[in-house]
Amino acid sequence: MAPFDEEDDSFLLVVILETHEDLWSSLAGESQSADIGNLSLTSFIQQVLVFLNTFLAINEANKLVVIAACGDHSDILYTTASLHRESQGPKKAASSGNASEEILRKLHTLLQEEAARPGGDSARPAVLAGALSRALCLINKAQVGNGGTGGGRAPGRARLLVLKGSPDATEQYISVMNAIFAAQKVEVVIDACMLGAHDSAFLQQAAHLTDGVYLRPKHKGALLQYLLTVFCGDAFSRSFLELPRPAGVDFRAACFCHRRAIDLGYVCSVCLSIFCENVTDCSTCGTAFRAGRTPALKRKAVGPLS
Amino acid sequence: MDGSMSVLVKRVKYIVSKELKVPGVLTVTETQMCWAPHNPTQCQPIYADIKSIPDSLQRAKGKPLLKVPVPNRALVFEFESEVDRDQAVDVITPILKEAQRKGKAPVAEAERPPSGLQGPQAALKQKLLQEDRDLQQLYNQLVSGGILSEAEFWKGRQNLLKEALRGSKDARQQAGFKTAMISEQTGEGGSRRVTLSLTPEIVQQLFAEKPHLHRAYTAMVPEKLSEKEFWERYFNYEVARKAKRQGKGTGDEPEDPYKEFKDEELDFREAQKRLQFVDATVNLAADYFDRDARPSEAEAPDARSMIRDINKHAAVVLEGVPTPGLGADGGPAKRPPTSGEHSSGRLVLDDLRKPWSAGFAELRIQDPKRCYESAADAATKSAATGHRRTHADALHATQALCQAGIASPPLSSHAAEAALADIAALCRGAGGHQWDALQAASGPAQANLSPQMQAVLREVCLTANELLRHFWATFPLSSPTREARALRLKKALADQYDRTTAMQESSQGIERVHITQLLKPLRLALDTALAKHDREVDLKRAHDRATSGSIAIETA
Amino acid sequence: MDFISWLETLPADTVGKLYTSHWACQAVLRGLTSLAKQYVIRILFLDVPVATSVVDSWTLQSSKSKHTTAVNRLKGLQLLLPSTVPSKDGKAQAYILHPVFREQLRWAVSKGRNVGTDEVPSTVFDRAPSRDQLTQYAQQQWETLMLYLVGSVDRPPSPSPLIKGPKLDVDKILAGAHLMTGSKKSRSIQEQGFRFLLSDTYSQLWRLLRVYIATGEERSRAPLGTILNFLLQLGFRDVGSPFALAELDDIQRNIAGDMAQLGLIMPFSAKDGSLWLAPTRLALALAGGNSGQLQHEVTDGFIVVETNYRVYAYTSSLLQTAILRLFTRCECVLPNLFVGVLTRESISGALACGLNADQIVLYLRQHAHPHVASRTPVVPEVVADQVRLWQADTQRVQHNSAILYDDFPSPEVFRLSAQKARALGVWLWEDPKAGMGRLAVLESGHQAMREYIKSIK
Repeated sequence: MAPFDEEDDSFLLVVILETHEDLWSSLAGESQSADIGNLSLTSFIQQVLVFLNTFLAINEANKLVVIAACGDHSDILYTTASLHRESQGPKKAASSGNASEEILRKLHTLLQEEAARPGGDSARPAVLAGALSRALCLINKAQVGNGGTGGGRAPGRARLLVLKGSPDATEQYISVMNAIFAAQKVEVVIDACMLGAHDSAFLQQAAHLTDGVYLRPKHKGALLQYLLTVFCGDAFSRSFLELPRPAGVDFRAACFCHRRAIDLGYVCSVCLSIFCENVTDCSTCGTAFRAGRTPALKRKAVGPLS
Repeated sequence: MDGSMSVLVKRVKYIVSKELKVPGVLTVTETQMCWAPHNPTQCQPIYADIKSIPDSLQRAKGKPLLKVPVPNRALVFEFESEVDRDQAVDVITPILKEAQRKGKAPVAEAERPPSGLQGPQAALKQKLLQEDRDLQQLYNQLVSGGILSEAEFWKGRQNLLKEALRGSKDARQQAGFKTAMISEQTGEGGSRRVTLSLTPEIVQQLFAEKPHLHRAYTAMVPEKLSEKEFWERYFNYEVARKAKRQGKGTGDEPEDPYKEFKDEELDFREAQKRLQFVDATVNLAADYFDRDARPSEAEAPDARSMIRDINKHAAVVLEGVPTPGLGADGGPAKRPPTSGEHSSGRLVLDDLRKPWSAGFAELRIQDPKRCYESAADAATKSAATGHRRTHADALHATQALCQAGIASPPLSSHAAEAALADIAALCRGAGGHQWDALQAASGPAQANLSPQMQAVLREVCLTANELLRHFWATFPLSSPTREARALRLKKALADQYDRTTAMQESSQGIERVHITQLLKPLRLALDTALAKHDREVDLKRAHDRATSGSIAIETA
Repeated sequence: MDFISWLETLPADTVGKLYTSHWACQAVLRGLTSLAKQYVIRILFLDVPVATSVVDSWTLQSSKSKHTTAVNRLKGLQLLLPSTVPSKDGKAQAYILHPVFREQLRWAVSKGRNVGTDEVPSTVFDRAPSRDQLTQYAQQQWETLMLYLVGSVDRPPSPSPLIKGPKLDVDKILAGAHLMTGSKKSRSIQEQGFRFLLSDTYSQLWRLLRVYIATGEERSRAPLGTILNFLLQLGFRDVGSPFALAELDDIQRNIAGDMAQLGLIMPFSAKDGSLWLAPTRLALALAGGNSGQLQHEVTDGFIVVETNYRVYAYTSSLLQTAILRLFTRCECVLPNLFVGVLTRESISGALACGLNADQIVLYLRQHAHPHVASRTPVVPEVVADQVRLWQADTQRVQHNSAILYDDFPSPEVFRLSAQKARALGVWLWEDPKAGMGRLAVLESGHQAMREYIKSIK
């Protein structure tokens, strides 16, 4: 019945870490008191690293990929060695230390590049959609590779965890939703941990559609405990554990014309594109709507698209 | 009425029947007696006005029972002991006697609802209360309970009173005009003499349908023409026109005697205004004119005028007779001729029967999410500094970590504890394993609750909504009276809040989940209201302090 | 019997000492069931006890049995220690994580580094065995051991000529694990030996290592912790990443030699003549939980089972053929293929040897050929069910200890007694016609019945 046998609880975890000034800004300053509601930048990085270490420690077959989502590109910070096809023989240069050190080093390099850029990236929202797509590609590759060698791994052995702090960028709505639907199709669960001040509609919908868990920690200072408690379990143990359930999901969509988040809108009767105002022709599929008595666009509540 | 002190609070059982004894608390104040069950699902609370209770309380011998006669029935309470009971009686009796002396002994009026209704339209209000159980319950709880004054309670129900004035609830349908067009009942075929009996109603309908007639009437009667002459001239014209239409008449098209009062432009504007409200199915011209009321040139002027007549007639018929007797608060009816001009607001041709409106007004908040979130945001914003961090800051952090390594442990034990507790609450709050049961239980939450529980929930919601309505009406707190009222209402709201909490806590299992879900919006609304009050009071206090401070400086 | 179950049987202070090594702590964490792992990491960063009621609330109502199993196992491993927390009414039961274990694991996940990350000269790398060589070596050593057990070869796996030291007494270990009896001359496999053959490599390895550690304690006076720590540390090394023999002390060197004989480590010499060791994939099993990945890698699948009960095994290994012969009737053997049929007789024979149906089916499933491994079910249901039915056939009679009552004083007493026996749920048989009646009840009900009959007499 369950596609997961009890004996093998290993899985592939892809963590999307937002490395964006919005996330840094949503954290408390170093000098601020170490209250449980506050999380300083240093301890944020520390806690995330410890979480990743723990994940790798609980099962030697666990695989990890860490992707950084920056202002305009995504970057892979870490990949478990067994995911590299080429590194089958004994490694020539021994990788020093554990995963966290490697991630920290890569992160440091990445931040140096980012900090060198003029301006900062407040104007460029983090590329959530890009990172999601990249993660899905990696997962697909890993699964296909596994299936080929005879293990015959069923889908569902991979999970995505998004650590996000910036508000939703509605201009990414279409691409993010597409990524979410793709994940839903290949049965990849998307978990989300929101560190910003507001709930993220994107991530709520992602978790809802893929059967994942969405969480916005109340005590940010205890982020590690949240991560360990909620996001560390494999699919098998998850089916027995009590996990936070969403109290409500923000199902608002963003219109295709101005990328505004809307409650009510017009939906193209041909391709289901969403518009915030009455338009004469659909910008997605090109259908021309006859204005007047037979409105082709019906104003209706925009809900979950599935 | 408010702020009356409790003179007695006792733990007693209310004896519903021989088998059913419901434990609860009896509270007696100077104005009312109230009994509330520990478990609200078992029984409804009872309120009784002290004035309505005679001072003859009957004690049972050998048993700790007390019989309290209230209008319509007798309440029997079981005390914990006889001594207990006798103590209580000793306390209550003087109050009852005092009330009897002050009040006008309303015992005789057995038919009246528990509390006396004062003010104008008392009979009407009583009737309303009798007809509507919910309303009566609310009234008992809020007015008899001393939370709202009589006037406050009825203030929000003017529409109900008006409707009651107009007739009984069943007669809510407006009286309609006859649908036959008047022009057709004027003649009896070939006879040359036409007898007309004009009732004020017909006149009113004519005026409504033909505005120019009304203009002519007001201009010419009685200065230039007598009323009789006026109508004779008009109907002569009508008869001739009709004959002409039927092909019997000869000669030219008869001339409308009041033609000069016809103002096409005005009528057109009027018509357009009306057309906004006219149902397309009623508007015969709709097909031809296609939503555009401007007459098409191709149409024969004759047909056009006929269509207009019929449309106008239909609109007037649908709108119905202005109800006589409903002027300004039940004042004398206006004279029909002057009511020819209808206010455009009443032109909505919804349906002949008005939708049944519940006896309460809903509390609506445009976007509840925004309302609730803004408070939370304010809290988080004040916690986080407005300082924006850049990649350079992050770089410092990683640099430090590279050198020092990860601290062990990276988080404090008490933080971890708090997080665990929070997660547990998240799992439980939204249902957790009960969530599955909730999913499994088909149908809406209401279907899974006992009818008794539903009744209790309904009552709680009605009461809280009513209180909230009054509460929000007190804002802004510009005068001491308003402040006092807001405070009183806030106390009542807090009571309701505690009651919902008690209900949630006393329920079990799946029922608890359903109750929690059903009460959630209500509790949110109550939360918002209480928070609003606290904020307002704080603001005011700060303001007062500031002003008094400035005065102090001036004097110094 | 794997590593974790074995730890449970050890005395508390031995386990406590073991937890002073973070390798052991990590290995224990990996060896836990998935639910138990979650519990451990949830309370890893708590310094205070957590109430039992809180722990109980972590699982869904529907999976309470899994919860109880997980908690009991953690208690058995001394990981969850009983404690109390103050509560409303005095003190409530609570758990606290083993403090030493907690500190070690915390250190491991925050500062811990992998083993074998020291610099290795490139001259060593040139001579280091390739992955294929390692696998081949491991397979050869391990298979020889198994064949020796079955009796197909006369000599146990040979020790590596590179490492000097006392040889491993394979016979003693196999006998200690109750797999074999007898001396060198007259060896015979025991009932448990057959079961052992069919179990997975991880269990096999730990079964032998348990005996090895126990006997090693007597042999070299090395404390249990030292041996275990070395072994566990070995498990955390990357496959094929070499480490120098010279860095080990005497005890460790001895152990390394023994492990090389079992195929866990492959020794090789560098150009300059220094000795190096490279862990094989078998060594991974030391610290790994019983994750499925390992089994697939150590022995690649080769068996295809068809719905007509025919078993095709693409193997030339004598061991695998020998194992298959345990429960199939051999039809033909080709150079790279073994064809057998599952028959009632062959299965009955296997059952008589002490195997059971589930083990057989599991073996067929675990060693399935890649082409059928992705299918579900791997073993056709009809075959799996039939094997289980054949087993059920042999267990048709049930034994119950019973008491027979005879010689009742009157039929009435008999009738009442029978009634009482039914009410107690211990009634088995009655014969009202014989004399005053005879009645048989379960032995467990004897006391109550005797008192009852006395009372109504």
